[in-house]
Parts: sequence; C-alpha cells; structure tokens
Amino acid sequence: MILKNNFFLLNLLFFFLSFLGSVYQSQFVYDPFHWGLSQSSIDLFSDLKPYKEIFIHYGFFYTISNSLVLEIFNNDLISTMYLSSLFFALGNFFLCHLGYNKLKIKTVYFLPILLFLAHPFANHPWYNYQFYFLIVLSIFFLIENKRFSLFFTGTLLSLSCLVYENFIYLGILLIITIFFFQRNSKKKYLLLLGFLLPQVIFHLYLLNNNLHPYWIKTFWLNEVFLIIYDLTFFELIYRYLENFLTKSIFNFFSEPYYLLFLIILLVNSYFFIRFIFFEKKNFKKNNINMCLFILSLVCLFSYASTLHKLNIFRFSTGPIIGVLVMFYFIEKNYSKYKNYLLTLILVILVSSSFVPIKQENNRFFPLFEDITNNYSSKNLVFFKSQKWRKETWDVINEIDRNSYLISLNCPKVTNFMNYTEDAFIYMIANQYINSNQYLFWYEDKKFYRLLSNHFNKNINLLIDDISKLENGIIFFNLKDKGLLSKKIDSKNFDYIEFPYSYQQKRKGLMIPKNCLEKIN
Amino acid sequence: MKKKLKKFKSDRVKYVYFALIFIFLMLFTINFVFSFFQNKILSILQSQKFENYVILKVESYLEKLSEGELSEEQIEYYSNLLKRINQKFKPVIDKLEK
Repeated sequence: MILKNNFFLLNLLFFFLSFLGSVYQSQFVYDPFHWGLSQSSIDLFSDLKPYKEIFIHYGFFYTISNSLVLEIFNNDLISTMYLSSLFFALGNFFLCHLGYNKLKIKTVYFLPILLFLAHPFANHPWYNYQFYFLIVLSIFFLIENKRFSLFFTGTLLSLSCLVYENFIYLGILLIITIFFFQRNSKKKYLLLLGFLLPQVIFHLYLLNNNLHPYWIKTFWLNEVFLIIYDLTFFELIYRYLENFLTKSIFNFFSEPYYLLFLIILLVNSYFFIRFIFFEKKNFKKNNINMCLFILSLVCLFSYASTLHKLNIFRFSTGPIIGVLVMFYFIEKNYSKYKNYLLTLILVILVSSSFVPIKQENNRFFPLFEDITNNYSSKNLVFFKSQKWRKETWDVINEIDRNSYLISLNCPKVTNFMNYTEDAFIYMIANQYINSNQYLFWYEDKKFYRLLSNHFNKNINLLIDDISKLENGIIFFNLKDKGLLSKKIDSKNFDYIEFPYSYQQKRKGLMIPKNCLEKIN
Repeated sequence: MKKKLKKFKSDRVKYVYFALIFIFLMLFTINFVFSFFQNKILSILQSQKFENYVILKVESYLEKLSEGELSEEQIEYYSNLLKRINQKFKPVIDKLEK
C-alpha cells in the first residue's frame, strides 16, 4: 500500500512537472508556423465553413477543442498550449497508472522518470498530444472491464481518429481486432456503438453542410507530402528505416532516445509476432496478455505518425505506449537484472537529455537571456501571455498598427495576402482585413505551391487580382521583393519595410500608392 | 586464489555495470556543463550589451585604422583589395545610383 501511494505521488509529481514546465516554457516560444494553425480554431466559431473556407489540417476534433479553449481564454494563443500540455501530462500519468496498477508491472516505478527524460515538455500546440491522451485512455477503459468501459474505449478511439483523421484506417483495424478478441459477446457490441457514434455525428454534420468533397481533399493531403518529398510510399519507408537506424546507432551518445524507441519497436514487434504465430490461444485466456497485445498493436501502428519526420515529440506521443510492453518484457525475461538494466537506461537518458539547452527532445528550452529580459505586451489579445524580445514586439506592433490604419483609411483595400512563413502576420491582419488565401502562410517553395494547388488556390491569380484591382495588400519577406516586383505593377504599388528582428527577419508590405499616401 | 578469481568472475557483471554508470554520469556532467555554457554564450550573443560592445569595437578599429600613414606595400595591397571589391559590387553600386 505504501509503495502504491509512493508511486502515485511520484506519478503526480512528474505530471505537474511536465504540465507546469510546458506552460512556463511556452511563454518564450516564437513559432508562428505551428502556433499559427490556431487561426483555423478561431475561424471555426465564425460564419466560415470548415474544410471549405477554413483550412483544417489534422482533424476536426483537434480544431474544435482548441476553439473551445481559445473561446474560454479570449483568443489567447497560449491556451492551446495549456491544452496540449494537459493532454500530454495526463497521457503520461494514465500510461504509468495503467502499467503499475492495472498490468501490475512493478518496474513501472521507473516509468514517470523515463517518460519525462524522453520528452519532458509539450513543444507545440499540436494534435499529437491530444491523440496520445485519447489512445492511452481508450486502453485504460479496455482493461477496466466494467459495464460501459468498452463503449468508452470505442468512443475514445473514434475521437482519436477525429483528432488525427489519417488514423482512421488503423483505428478501424484496431476496433475490429479488439472486437474479435472480446469474449463477452453482448458487451463487445458496445465497442462498435461507441466507435460509430462520434463518426456518425461528424459525417452527418458534413453531409448537412455539403462539406464531404472538401473534407476528402484534406483527407488525401498525405499524398501531397509524398510528392513534396519526391518519394513513393515504399521509398519513404526505406528512407525512414535507414535514418531511424542511423540515428539510433550513431547518435547514441548525443541523442540516446532514438535507440530507446528502436528497442521499443523491436520488443513490440517480437511480442506481436509471438502472439500472432505462436501463442494466440494462451494469450487469449489471459486478460493482461490481451491488453499487452493491444498495446503493442497501437504502438506499432503509431510508428506511422513518425514516418513524416523523426521528431521525438511524435515518438513520445504514440510509439511510447509500447514502453509498457518493454517493461513487461524486461521484468519477465531479466528479472535478476531488471533494476540494473532500467537504472542504466535512465542514466543514459539523463546523460544527454537533462541539459539546459534546446535539444531534439525539448526544442524550446529558452535562453537565459530570454528568461531575464523578455517581456509581455498586452496590445494584442492573441499574444498577451507571450514573453518575447523587444525587437520581436516592435515588428508585431508595427504590423498591427499598419493593418489597422489601412482598414481605417483605405476602404478600397478589401483583402490581404500573407506571402511569408509567419502565420502570426495572417492572424494580426485578419483582425481588420479579409483574406482569400485559405492557407495562413505562403512562400515561393515547392511545399507551399503543392499545398495551395491541392486546395485549388492559385496564389499567382490572387496576386494578379490585387495588382490589377489595387484592392489588396501583400505581406512579404524582403528577400522576395525582386520576385514580387515582377508580379506587381510598380507604378501603382509601393512598399513599407518593417523593423528587423532576429526571429522574424525583415518583412515588408506591398501597398497601393494611393493607400500609402493616406496612412502616412 | 581460486576463490578470489571465482568471486571476481561472479562480480564482473556488477563491475561492468558500475563502470557504465560512472561513464554515463561523467558524460552527463560534461554535457550539462557544456550546455550551460552554450546557453550562456548564446545569451550573450543575443544580448543588447554584446551588440553595443561590437559597435564600440568596430568604432575603435576604424579609429585605429585612420591613424598614421600607409607604407608602399600597404598601399599596393589595399588598392588591389578595394579594386576587387569594387569590381564585385559594381552592379550593386550601379543599381543604387539609378
């Protein structure tokens, strides 16, 4: 009992450490590419139609949960990080609870520390953290074995497929597997009911608003990524395995967490193969083995989310679930050395993860200078909790001031375009002026060109319109001025330069000459 | 002697284990100290103080450069150097004059 209480306290300690650390750290983050996606969540509560007029990148449930939290915190962007941090910390908490109290793996005592060292803080307001929490909770209910627990397993798996829509294939496969391995024939239909309910509600909503054609477009977005990387699916897998193996072995001393995830992959593959080909009957009789099988299945499936990039935050919000199978494996097969082995793993992780600088497993550890000198500015609701450098605030405030002045003095200017990678510019300008851009960022690069073409948005046509009708403004990186000058009629347009900052570089604004005269 | 050898053999896993722990703790200390100073250095490079220092230093170098007279060799060397720079940046200067 004392051990159990101690474990609970340890688990709770790392829950708060991870949650509060993520929130504190995120105050200093300037990441307009990832954070800018919150614009879809802001737009969701407007008159615009999702998928058709709002770019929904990963999943509807991810977008709407961010919308809710933004609504509560009055569009303060840091609230999306509160949500991600909470989901991440809760996911870790339940994973440890599941291993120690439900699966009775005693060595899980080490797990809260290991999870913290592998990926201490949530780095982005990204779908992965919500997905991770929902998946862990669904497995938690699977092992609960209470009256409606299978219903909740189904519902949570369904919601995780709505957070990350491309998981639907694997989600369905998972539901079918769980369904056929359930002994209680009555209860197992609750699993299907739980899974279908959120999906039916979502698709009825799409049907009612005639949004299915637009949803499908987003659903097939992964194909575009293959074109961007110029790879076939099999080439992608080959390159992934090659990079994963190389990083695991050659970066062992600097980034040992890759090796940890390679070991998790190997142990879970072994467990899965053993189950399928050799011990299915023995396993089916044992509920814990069944749960471990499902864990290994989820773990192996979620490696798919890392195909895109070998980011530790992706590994730590999916494949990490298989760590329980690894602990179980060590406890069963190396019981004599289990504590030595796990201590060694922790010490190896500490040796390169527990350092006061940004690393792959924590990409936003702030500079000491930023902690002491950065400050908040209450000027803009989106960023009122951020602590940024003075030069960064100067650019933000200048963009805000100019956008406001243009909307006030130039009635002919009805739309803007963000020809930069900085989606914060889109958010600021969008307060005063409309945009037909669909995507919140754009640069003259293959990635953005293909993404825009996929959604049938021709950026060059939009620029042409602005140039001919003189009814719009274009925010751009000053290094792209030569490129834009060829597309914009220089007789009628001039440009403003914003102050320089290290984080934003030099941005500019193409503006009709008659409008510039009015705001000066 | 045999007993000692047996004991050593039975303990060797422990020796290897503690050696590994020691190595990785050392690595941790090195990494921690290195990262701490890396963060400090980056903080300094990002700071206003450092920017002011660089400006003052450049001023000082320019002042020193303007003092005294050039030797024949220096005149030859600098005129070649400036000629090459002028050639390289001519299109830029021409564009500025337009």
